Amino acid sequence: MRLLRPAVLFVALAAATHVAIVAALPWLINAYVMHRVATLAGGTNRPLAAPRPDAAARGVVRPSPDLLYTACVFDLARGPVRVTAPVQDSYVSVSGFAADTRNFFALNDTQVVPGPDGQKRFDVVIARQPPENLPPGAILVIAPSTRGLVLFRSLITRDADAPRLARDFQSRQACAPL
Amino acid sequence: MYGADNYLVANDAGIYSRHAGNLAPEPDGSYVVPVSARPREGNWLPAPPRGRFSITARLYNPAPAALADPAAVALPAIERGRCR
Repeated sequence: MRLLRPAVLFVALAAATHVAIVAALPWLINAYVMHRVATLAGGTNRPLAAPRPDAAARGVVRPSPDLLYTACVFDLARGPVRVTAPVQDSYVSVSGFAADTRNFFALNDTQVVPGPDGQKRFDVVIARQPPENLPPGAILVIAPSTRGLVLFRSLITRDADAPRLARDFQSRQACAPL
Repeated sequence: MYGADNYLVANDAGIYSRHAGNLAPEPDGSYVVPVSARPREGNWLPAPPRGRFSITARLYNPAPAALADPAAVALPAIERGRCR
């Protein structure tokens, strides 16, 4: 019986530690990823266009070799951030992840309505509260955290098209203060 | 194709996936993808020379029926081949 109390205490402590680690891990991992992306991009609210993943890619596990990735760490402390990009003629998506990795928005090429010029374009404003100067046609997304990650994924449907997609589309995937 | 470390598998051919843009179909419209560490004819998908590996199928802009019922999508059959 004299071991019962320490044993219960040990199990309770182990359970509490387990819950704390499971709860904290998404924040810690995402904080590390955002730090790396922002460092490579030269700061927050700046896009980082990554080269096409190959066997040497070690940025994230299980990257798709058929996608061009562009990442941007957004920081809404000084106001909203505008995310823009032309839409290519194959699958492309833009999605937002909160500080705890929660996916809070996603748009793909099929959901974008062509503009007056017939061209499709992503135009998203991420903010903590609705801004007064929302550009006409822009989609407003309220972020659940001040910092987070925006990720573009652009599908390469033919290997020969990869340089053109990188030059004409990936290089124009942007995020900047509104 | 991913190795046991969950990264793309290095190979001299620089082939990491098979997709609609680089698959040669069979006469009946189906696709056969030989998975092997050694080069193979056709739609060869390089595997690591040893150890475990895993294959991921990704669907982009799938048909509405696939979105409504992903479990009903006919995934590729995987059959164990013979060593050469």
